[in-house]
Amino acid sequence: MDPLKQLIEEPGALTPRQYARRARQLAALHLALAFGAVTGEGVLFARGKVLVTLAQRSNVETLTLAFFAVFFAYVGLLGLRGAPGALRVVRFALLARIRGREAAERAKHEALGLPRGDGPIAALSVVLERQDSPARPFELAVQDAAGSMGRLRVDGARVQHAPHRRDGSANLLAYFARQVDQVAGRRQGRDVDVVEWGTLDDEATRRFLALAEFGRNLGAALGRDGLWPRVVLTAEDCAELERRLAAICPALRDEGFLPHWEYEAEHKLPIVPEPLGLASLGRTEKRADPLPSLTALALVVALATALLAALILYPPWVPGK
Amino acid sequence: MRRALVILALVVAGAAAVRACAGPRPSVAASWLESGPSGYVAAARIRNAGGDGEIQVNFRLRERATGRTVPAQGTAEVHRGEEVEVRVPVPAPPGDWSLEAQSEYPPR
Repeated sequence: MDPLKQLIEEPGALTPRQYARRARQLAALHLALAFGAVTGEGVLFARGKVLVTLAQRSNVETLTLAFFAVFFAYVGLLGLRGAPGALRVVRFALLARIRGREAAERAKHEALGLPRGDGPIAALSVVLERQDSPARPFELAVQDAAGSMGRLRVDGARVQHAPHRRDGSANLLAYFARQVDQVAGRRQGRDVDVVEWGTLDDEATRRFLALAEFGRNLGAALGRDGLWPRVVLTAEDCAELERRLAAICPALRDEGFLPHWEYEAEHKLPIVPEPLGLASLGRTEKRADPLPSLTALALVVALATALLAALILYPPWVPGK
Repeated sequence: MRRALVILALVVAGAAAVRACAGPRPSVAASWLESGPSGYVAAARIRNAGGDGEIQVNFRLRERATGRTVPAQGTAEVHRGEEVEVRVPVPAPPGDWSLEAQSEYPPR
């Protein structure tokens, strides 16, 4: 798999350990963002006079500082939105040490509350079927000893996380696709991947799913089952998938406390910048996981704050009066 | 290894360039008030721990009895590692004055 795609689109989708690490890192990132932005804003307001003088003396537009003020406020709001959830993750992690993991998981499960929607949908690159009931929708349980986190509903290429607690997780769908790839896809010579995300582009997802269903129906009408790429799951495969889904339930609960940032990612490198804009390089990923997005944002906040602090501590030479 | 050395060299070069562009970092080592023929002269010894540039010294004379204040400002061009004395005549009437001095960079 493309490492860049793995890094940006589906971090933590390969193993339960990665998935858990991703949830913990997300919680830490929300706190870091809120703290970093408040620090940056504090530096800006505490030593604003020095920065304004430096800006005016060095012919830098003073409004640049206003941009920083708005930027820190915006990022701070983003971070603060996730901070209460991140603190709850920390609280339950501490509870697990004090009262034991099972008790903490049960408390976490209760704290998440009832489901708030139908859950995210994604389209897979292949049609999934159970060997014992071909061409029929099927469900897989996402649950462990602490309780059910919902069910994965699979209907051909369509996969949906129907949550039993709070919101569904789009990253769970990415994790599921990677697990199907490992458990059955490779064995059958098929790459299983998410190709459309309902949370990002529901129209394109429906269009793709309609086409996949058409292909499946056409195959059935012609008596050729393999017309549309498909992966067949045995009962053992399904049991293994449910075991792997159960393994990430604790991380899924942690993730449930945090906001769901679902965006596309676009990276552009202008070779000849605007207003000419003769040449630029670009790369687009259909889905950017919150982990790389927030990491990039946290880095920018840290760099901006460090730059402002460095300008205050070590002011550059500027012309005299 | 080679890449790490290149990155290290770039970081060192960047740090050297930034250091070369650094402005003064002034601090007041001592301040005192002198009596002159036409009033007072506020004086301060400024220690510069940074690079070259123009600094500003803000004086504030405060009359101990009434709390009345008379501000004054002076600027000076300083060089790296230098210690300079800045003197500014203050048009204050005779009295019991205390002196506060603050240095700042960049000058406002």
